[in-house]
Amino acid sequence: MLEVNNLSVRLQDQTLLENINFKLSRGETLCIIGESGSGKTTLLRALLGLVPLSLGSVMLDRHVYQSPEQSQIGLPSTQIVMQDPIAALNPRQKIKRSIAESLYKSSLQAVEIDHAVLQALRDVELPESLENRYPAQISLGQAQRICIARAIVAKPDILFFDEPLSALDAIIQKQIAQLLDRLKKQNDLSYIFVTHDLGFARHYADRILLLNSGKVEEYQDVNLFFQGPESIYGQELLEAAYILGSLPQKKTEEFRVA
Amino acid sequence: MKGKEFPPLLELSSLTVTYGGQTLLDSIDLDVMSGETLAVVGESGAGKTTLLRSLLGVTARGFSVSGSLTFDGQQQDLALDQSYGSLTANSLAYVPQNPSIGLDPLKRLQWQWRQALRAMRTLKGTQSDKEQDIEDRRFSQHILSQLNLKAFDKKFPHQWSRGMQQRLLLAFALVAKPKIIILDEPTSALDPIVAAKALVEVTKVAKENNISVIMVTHDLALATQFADRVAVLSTGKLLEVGTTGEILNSPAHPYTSNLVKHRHWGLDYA
Repeated sequence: MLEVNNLSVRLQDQTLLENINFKLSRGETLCIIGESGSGKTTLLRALLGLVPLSLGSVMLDRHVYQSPEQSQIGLPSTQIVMQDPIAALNPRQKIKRSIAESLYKSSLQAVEIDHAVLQALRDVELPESLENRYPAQISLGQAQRICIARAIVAKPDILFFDEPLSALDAIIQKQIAQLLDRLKKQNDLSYIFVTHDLGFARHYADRILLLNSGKVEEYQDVNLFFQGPESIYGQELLEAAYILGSLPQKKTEEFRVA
Repeated sequence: MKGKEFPPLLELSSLTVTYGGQTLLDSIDLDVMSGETLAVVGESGAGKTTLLRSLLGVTARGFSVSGSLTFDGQQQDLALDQSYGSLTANSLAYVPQNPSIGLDPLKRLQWQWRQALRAMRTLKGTQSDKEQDIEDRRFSQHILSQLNLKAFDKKFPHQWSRGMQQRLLLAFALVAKPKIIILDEPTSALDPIVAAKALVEVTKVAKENNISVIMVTHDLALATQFADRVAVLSTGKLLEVGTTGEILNSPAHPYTSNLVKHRHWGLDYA
């Protein structure tokens, strides 16, 4: 469905992304992992049209863009959920309006929009009464659910997530991850996650795209990746995740024999 | 391995912190043994930061603190004496979550490192004789190389990455050979590969020098990897304290067992 070919992003004399290739089919979940500064967020931004491409092409169904000018329009039928949900919501808008905003340009009647907003709230397992609150009056977890509701109400094909869970407590993280899983099956969505949480990637991804300083270090099926990464960098990253407890298995004893 | 026959190095008893009628910490009893790694685990709003600040004696104005603190055999009533920071000042090193608040932006790193060494010597009250000089230099080089830090090159803090700044702060903490090091969310500023190496090294050097480590984190999985004992904090109450094995295998409180169950996304393939 989505095909990225030789994507490069240069800013002045710096190369932020170089020769990125990957595909995403319908219903698939791709996790983009890598350390800070590896280009994860830049890649998301490039796909969304927030950063112009220098080279390469992005193809979504029949919609193609390859020049910097084209890429700034962004892909149709994609939505994004950001890391900090409170910052992502307009503090002076009621929740209702935040969710409905993407529908104002559609041909829907006001009643239908109201209906869609309530449906979206039910979809993300929030009480309908929340629609009249302001972002400051809801919790962080609720705010992230609102951001998800706002994204799915536009009926996208692909949802992008930039560290969607890292601001949340562990138990709420898991509830929202389960919610996302259900929404994906219900609406036949594809997901692209930017995440540093390897435990999450292992659990929810179908494929892994490992970035290291702007280049693809590995593009691999999730099970194969976690069984044994091919690149040395990937191996180091997994080893670190075991030590830090992000992945279950090995204990630290063997690493810290005093 | 350490029984109760040794008195704890630091002991907090019925520490209560209130602010404007709100109880932030409710009668906390906690002890830290010499040389052990204790993790304090709690989610946001649990009172981790308040506990840290109380330990350091830097609670903000308007906070009222009560309870008592015993450190190395000396006891202080926290309600009477707000300047109790002096009791632990020379023996406690604090590594903040955000490394930029720990470094002076206007001073070169080399200068800051020399200050740390000088401070260490003043604290220890050691005379500068030749043998001691050599020993100190050896130890400081050892710490720097363990944390993968080499030349300072007359650099200023902003010319180093966050990860390197954080490792430098860990080195500051270790080189002073304090009795306790407090790590506030030690991994959040670091990328995993660097974080893993740094934490393994810090806990190793701490063990070698019989330094206690108090690690404050929201991440139970991380805590159980490094700590000898884990204390679970939730909404201002200390729910339980136990060895890492006890917390993982037989948590006493339902809140803890929920945290244990949900770490690693509930995955359990060993």
